[in-house]
Amino acid sequence: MKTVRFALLLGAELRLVLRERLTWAVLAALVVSLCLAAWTGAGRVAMERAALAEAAADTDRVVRDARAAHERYAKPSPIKVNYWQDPTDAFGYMTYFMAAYAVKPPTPLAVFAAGQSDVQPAIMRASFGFSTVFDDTAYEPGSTARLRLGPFDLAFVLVYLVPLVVIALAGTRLSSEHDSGILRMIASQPVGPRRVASAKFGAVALIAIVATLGGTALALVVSGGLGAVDGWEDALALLAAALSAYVAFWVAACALVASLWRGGVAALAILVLAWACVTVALPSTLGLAVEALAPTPSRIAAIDASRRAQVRFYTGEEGARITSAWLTGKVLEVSSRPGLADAPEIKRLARDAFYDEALASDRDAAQDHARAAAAWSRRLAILSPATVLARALEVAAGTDAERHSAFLAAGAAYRRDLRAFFEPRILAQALDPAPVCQGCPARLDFAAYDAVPAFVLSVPREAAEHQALVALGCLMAGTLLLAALAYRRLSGWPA
Amino acid sequence: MRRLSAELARTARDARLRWIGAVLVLLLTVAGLGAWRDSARYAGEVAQVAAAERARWLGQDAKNPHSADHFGLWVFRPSAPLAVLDPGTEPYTGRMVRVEAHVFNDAVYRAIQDAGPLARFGFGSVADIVQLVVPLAAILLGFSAFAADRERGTLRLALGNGVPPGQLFASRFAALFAALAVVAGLPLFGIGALAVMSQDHAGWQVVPRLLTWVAAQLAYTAVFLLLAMLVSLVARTARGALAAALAVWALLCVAAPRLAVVGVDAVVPALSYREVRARIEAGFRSHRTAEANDARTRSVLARYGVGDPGELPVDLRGLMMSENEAHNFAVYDRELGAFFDSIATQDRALAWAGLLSPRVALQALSQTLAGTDFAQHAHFVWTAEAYRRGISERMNAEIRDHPQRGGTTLVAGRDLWEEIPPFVLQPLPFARALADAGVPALILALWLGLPALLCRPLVRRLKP
Amino acid sequence: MADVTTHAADFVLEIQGAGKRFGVRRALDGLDLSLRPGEVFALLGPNGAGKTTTVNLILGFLKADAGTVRVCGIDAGADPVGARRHVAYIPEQVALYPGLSGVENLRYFTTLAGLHLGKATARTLLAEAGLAETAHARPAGSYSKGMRQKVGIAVALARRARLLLLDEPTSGLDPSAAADFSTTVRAAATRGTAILMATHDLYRVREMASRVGVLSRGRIVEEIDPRTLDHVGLERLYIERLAGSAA
Repeated sequence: MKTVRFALLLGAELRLVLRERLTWAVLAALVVSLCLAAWTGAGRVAMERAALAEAAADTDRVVRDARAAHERYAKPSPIKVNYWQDPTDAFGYMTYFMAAYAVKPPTPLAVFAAGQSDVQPAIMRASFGFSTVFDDTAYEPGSTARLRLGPFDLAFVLVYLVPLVVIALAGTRLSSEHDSGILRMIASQPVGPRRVASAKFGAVALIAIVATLGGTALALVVSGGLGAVDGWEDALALLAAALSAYVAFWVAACALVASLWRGGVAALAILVLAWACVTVALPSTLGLAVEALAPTPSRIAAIDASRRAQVRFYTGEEGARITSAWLTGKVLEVSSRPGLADAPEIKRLARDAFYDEALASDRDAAQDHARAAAAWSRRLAILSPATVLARALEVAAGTDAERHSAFLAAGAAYRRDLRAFFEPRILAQALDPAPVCQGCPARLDFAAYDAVPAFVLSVPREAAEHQALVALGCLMAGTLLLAALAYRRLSGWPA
Repeated sequence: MRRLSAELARTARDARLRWIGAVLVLLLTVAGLGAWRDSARYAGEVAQVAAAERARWLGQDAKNPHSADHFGLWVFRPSAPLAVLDPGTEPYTGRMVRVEAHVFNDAVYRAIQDAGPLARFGFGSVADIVQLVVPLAAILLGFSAFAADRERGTLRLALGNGVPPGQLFASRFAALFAALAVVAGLPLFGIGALAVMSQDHAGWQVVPRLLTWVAAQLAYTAVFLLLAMLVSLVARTARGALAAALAVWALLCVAAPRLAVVGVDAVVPALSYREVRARIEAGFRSHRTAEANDARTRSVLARYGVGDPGELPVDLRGLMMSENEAHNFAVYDRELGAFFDSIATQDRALAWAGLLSPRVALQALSQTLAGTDFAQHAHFVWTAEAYRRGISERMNAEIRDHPQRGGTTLVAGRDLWEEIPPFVLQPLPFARALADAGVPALILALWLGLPALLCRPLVRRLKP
Repeated sequence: MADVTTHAADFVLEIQGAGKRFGVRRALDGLDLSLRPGEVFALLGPNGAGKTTTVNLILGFLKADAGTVRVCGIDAGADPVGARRHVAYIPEQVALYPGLSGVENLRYFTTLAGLHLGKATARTLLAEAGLAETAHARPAGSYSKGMRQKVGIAVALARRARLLLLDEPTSGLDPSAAADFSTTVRAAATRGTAILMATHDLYRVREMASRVGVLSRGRIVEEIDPRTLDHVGLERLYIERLAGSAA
């Protein structure tokens, strides 16, 4: 009986909310915003995919050109081919031609959040030498205004605007009735405030959840931004649940504020300030906390260290000493080969190994910092509903900081793999040059272009599911807490 | 005048003002002092490493000038003194450039890369607080100006007793604006003064910059105060006035700025940096081949009418490097010039997009006045590149003009290194900033004028 | 209402020795008041005499510090929702959802009471409460105070409440609307509804009430039979009693 009555009450409240023109205006604005956000997201993902395709095409082109050079230079020719012009030489190819890319492909849900993708490129060309003091040198400058203001992506609409929509729909429920005197009429009926509040806020929650999920689904379909979600259904469902919990959290917040019986003005002011705290002030404070817990090592100090290493290598006979020491470690009969240590490629390999060693502690510190900052960000993110949802969206989109720091580490490992691939070949050529025809201008010691290691792609689906689950748990806990507080406060009508 | 002092007294007694003022002063002070500390630390590090780099350049071993060109150095962009107030584009652009032979390196290591994901959510800077929170403060103070009186019936009482509505409006606006100027303007001025006094600000013309900057922030504050009062003039209830003013705030400060960027990106797209770099690479590729090199060598010999490099009056390697660099410079100038131009065009379009939101207009205006706009970054990038080219040209000229015979290598020493001056970045002059600030300033003035204009007839026909 | 309590069938409302304090202020001080079906009791008293507190106690919005308040035998303090099942309340300003029509408002408020009213029934009830048919479908935002009160009456009729609480029902009504209203109230009383109205309007009190109580400093200082006095006499007595109790 009671359930039937509650269903009737809920139906009446649904009709009441849907009769308001404001409801439709706000929901229309929400759906338009979602579609626009999905459209910008789809554009971004398409650009990322195009960039990956371009990188792959570039790799192919380089191999094609190198093979053509092989054919061209395998015949006698009067021209002089320097090592930096010779893709048929292992050292020349590795240092001046090879286009090996470490790439971070978008996930099927990439459309959801731009995340860190606008400051951290998803493509890094492996390069050797000194210019890269750190792993994260890849940089694609563009509009700084966009970076400052942030992207208009789905994460923005869902994390920032959806709460405002909920506040517009539910923020003054009960308190506006209190202001206008309707509450007196409601209260005089044989019904308690908890039941009325449950029906009123339940109705708004239903409408807001249906509009948010439906709007998002519509936006995804219209924009075509969703990739092939095979295997990602669980992540998508968990995200939808987390999103519903986020909407419910804000509805519960509205109910709690209404239970203060302070009137519409105070309710609106409190809710908007709460919104500003949860979405802006709290994350900023958490950001400061992360900075305090995982202080950023100085880039300038690392640059200084790299330069000290460079000075050391190029001062006096130190470079020669380092090179021959390196060679001794690699090749046993080095002493029997006078002049080997002066070969530019040997000097270069020894120098880079020396730099790597000199900068290892700085690189490690930077990697440790990236890992620590990401871990602290992950832990602290659960303290704000906005950050925990945003993180879930970013992880699902594969644009979160943690994936990027893993990508940077994978990129660095890839560079080491490439060097490990080329080093023995370069040494072999230095020790025992490959025979070439009389008058052939090039070295012709390297043709294993297809054997060059490729970067292993990773698309972390489990992390997406895990983070969405964490977000769902946190948001449900927050919602229940607020709803319980509101329920406790709503024991009686205000006199 | 009596009415103004009465309104001032009323505003000063308002508990809301004390709360809002305390929060604003706290937020601005924390953000400002944090930025000031970071900026002082960065300036100290830059000064130290720049001196060390100079010493390393001068103290390098005697070697071939081209090796010295490869040895190179790092140059650093000093932060603008007013970046403490508005870091503008600085955290989003690289601040360090590796100057070396052949390569126009990117300015790398942006503060935003190190800031962590949470920092990008919130207001990292004083300027962000002004752009987002100060309007909220103006609304919370201004929304009740007339609506609450109307609801209580005191507006009917006042108007019925012959209080001229124009005077009422003007004195209320003046009192609220004065209150906001105290709680927002003074802290801004204080932080700015601290930043200016504690840092080297040669060439920055900091006093006019600081004054115009604070004035721009106050104008922006006034826009939202006027909007809140405008809503208050027509709303029947205080709740309605607050709801409408908050909706305006959410639209203008939260949603519209990002929408404006989307619109500008769609209408005036900037060139893709990746594609620009790919074009540069393609521009070099054909020039770098052994065949092309051979053809150029032959054409040099033909130009001098000799058959053997040894017969040349100049060093062939030096001459060819010099000519190669000239080719590279042209490619860089063409491609990166177009890229930076496209960003500048987009920035100009974005200033016009301020018509969609005063926050966008203020952001453009504020960073230009503070000297932290993209123009200053581009100026740094090209100054560093010009410095790099100066070194390369001097080193190549040294080789070219000292032809070596019999396989010997030219070796130069400190005399040559000393010919290269230290890297100094003179900021773009304030006059340039004023010229760039024209459009956003005009648009902010429009934002100020429009509600003021709308208020006039509403005040005249004010309904109790 | 199948579950109407038959306990204390004689009394719809029974207030015995009700006391209520707000800090040091004593709002009610041993109020006794009982109402039978069909009785119309007018509670007269100046501002602050305790009229609104009495109404709040009956509706269960407040709990009495002393004494009991029973509606159809249900303790309003212990089971406010149960007590309100038998009470219909018409506040001084009947506030309705301005965007909904009279019919929709009526259906909404009766849903809160657990009733499911058809549109036709709602129209009949509104007509019974005296709301012109042309107004039924119009948004309530355009209603006058009298029209809004009629919707309030219709809610009471729909709920077949046994006790009708009227708070300053005629203040701000023009004379014809006030006359209209008293007809409706008398009709309700004839059907057996007990009516408690808190008011200042001595003229209407004489016309509508079967019993009149003068409330001062939280207790009824005099109960008057309105039929024994004209409204001038009633006014004189009211002022005298108030002066007496204040002395």
